[in-house]
Amino acid sequence: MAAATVWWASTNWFEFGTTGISYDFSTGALSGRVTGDGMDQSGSFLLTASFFLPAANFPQGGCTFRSTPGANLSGNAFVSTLYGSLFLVFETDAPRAQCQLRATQEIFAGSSLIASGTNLQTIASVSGDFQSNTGTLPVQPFPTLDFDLDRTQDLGIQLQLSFENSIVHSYQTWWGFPALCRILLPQWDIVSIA
Amino acid sequence: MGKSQSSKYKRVRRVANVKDRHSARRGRIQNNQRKLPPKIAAMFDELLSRSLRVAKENQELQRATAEANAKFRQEQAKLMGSLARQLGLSGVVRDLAALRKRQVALVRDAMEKTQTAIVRERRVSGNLRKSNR
Repeated sequence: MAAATVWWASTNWFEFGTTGISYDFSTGALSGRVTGDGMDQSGSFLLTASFFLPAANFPQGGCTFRSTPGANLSGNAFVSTLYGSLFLVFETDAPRAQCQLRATQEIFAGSSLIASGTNLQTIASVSGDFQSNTGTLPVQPFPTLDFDLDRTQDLGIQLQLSFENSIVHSYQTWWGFPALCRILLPQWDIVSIA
Repeated sequence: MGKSQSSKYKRVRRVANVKDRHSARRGRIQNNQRKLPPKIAAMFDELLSRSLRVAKENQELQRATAEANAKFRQEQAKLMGSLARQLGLSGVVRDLAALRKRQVALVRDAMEKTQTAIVRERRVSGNLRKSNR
């Protein structure tokens, strides 16, 4: 079975909106906390990592290959609510809070996209007054992709991991800690399947 | 993480917390030993700017919605005050609001304390695991 390791080239991370997040690349620790009261808030944290394999380093045999990146996530996310919008003593809008994780893998032969897949998972979600929920991050969030190796072009693979946090009509807390939430994207092998 | 990978990270150049028009905060780290071929690098840069543009647009949309909701709630609160005054219920509404405020403060305090305790506990157990290696 032919196999080759894709090489890590670079990692970028960004945050948008209200996130309160900090990311330490050397440990892979994502941590942070957001609180709000009586207002809608949203924020996302985007991590992209680029990998490649020069054509000269392709394995000798094999035509169709399988790519299964291992993000090795661990830890959890937490969301909570207080109460929603009130009119006199009546609640007109129930509070909602959620943390979603979107993981995308895109494979390129030169500059042509040859395979792509996205997994969207809700890590923690609550609806209603005074609710809280903790969700565990999936160990392997990325989809597995099969592709035909174009031996005339270098191979490029881009991974995107996006934590999308939102809160309406209430209060939310979201945090992580090295022991709670770790993101490291190690190199992995593409393995021939045909 | 294996030893070889740890040493690899020491060779990288770090450019962090660079502000730009796309996001409030960002960071970048790259492997200087294995740089992307220029053709793929240019395409990845283009992909990245597209992702950032979409994320920025989504964020702007959510911010505008939140602002509209906040305005609506302000108007709702004004109407509630006026109605309560007309019905002679200002005192009752004020008492209910104070009660609600107290309830929120108690729950919020309990949440904060629980989370802080959990984080502290995991930090301690994380350090213990490190020292046992």
